[in-house]
Amino acid sequence: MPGDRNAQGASFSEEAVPHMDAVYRFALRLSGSRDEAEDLVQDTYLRAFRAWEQYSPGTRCKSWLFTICRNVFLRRRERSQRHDAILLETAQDDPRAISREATVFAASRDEDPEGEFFRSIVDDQIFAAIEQLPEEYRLVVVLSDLEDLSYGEIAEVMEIPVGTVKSRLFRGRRQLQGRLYDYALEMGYISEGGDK
Amino acid sequence: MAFFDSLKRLFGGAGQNGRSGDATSPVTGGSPTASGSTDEAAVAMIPCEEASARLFEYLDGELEDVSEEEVRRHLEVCEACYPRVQFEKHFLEALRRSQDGGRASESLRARVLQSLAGDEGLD
Repeated sequence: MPGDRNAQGASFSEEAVPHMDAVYRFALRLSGSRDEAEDLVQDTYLRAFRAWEQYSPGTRCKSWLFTICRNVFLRRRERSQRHDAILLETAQDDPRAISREATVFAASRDEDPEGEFFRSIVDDQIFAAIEQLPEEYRLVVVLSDLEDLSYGEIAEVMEIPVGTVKSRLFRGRRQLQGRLYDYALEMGYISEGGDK
Repeated sequence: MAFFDSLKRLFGGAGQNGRSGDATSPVTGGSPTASGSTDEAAVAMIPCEEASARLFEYLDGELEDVSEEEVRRHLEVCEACYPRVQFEKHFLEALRRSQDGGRASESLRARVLQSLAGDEGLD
């Protein structure tokens, strides 16, 4: 019915459209390309609108859109035959990052025990450091720390158990700290500590 | 009474021995067990390692179980863990601050709304 259709359009405009910035940011983190991210956003919104009747009011619309966006991305990636290669690539940690991740707090403890140096790091550098994380860590860090989703919501978007969310978040944050610490050393925000 | 107990915990647990900066040491040096309060003893019973392992859950607001109250209390009063808590807070603040950049462009918005309208969606 036209009336229902109009009401559906109105509620979609009200609830889903305001999250477009967040969906775009997530799509950008998924794809690493602005053009692809824009295509993902368009497909996500089209699919979300067609499935709007299935959306249950009360659930968080943003995480529902993220779920659709991730599914659209995975389907596209599968189609492009890069799926296995990327999975293989992201399953391997950067050994340098791993050796670093457990020691950042200890390394900076003498000079900067409360991590004030994080405040000096420019946003672009943080963005770049997040981009370099393996995908499985990058996405949970983005969803938690940039988009403010709960562990439960991330588990739904990523289709993984909450325990896996916690462990990926822990490892991802530690790797990120290692990369930001290296950058802070290079920029002279902090000097190499003796306690390593 | 609960309010006074909290004050006692805060002042008793956070001001005695100075910051050791050792996030992995047990909370014995700065612990207020000598005063004999049950609450304080509970804080002292949790090793820093255990509390530290739950630190992200604490900062993420994901410590919901009542049994996890001990972790919360520990991290709120333990001097040895204080630098670690601040360290992780500054890290997470830096991440949150960095997200302001990414916005969907006006051309993308127009394109999305146009495709929805074409799908008999929006005006």
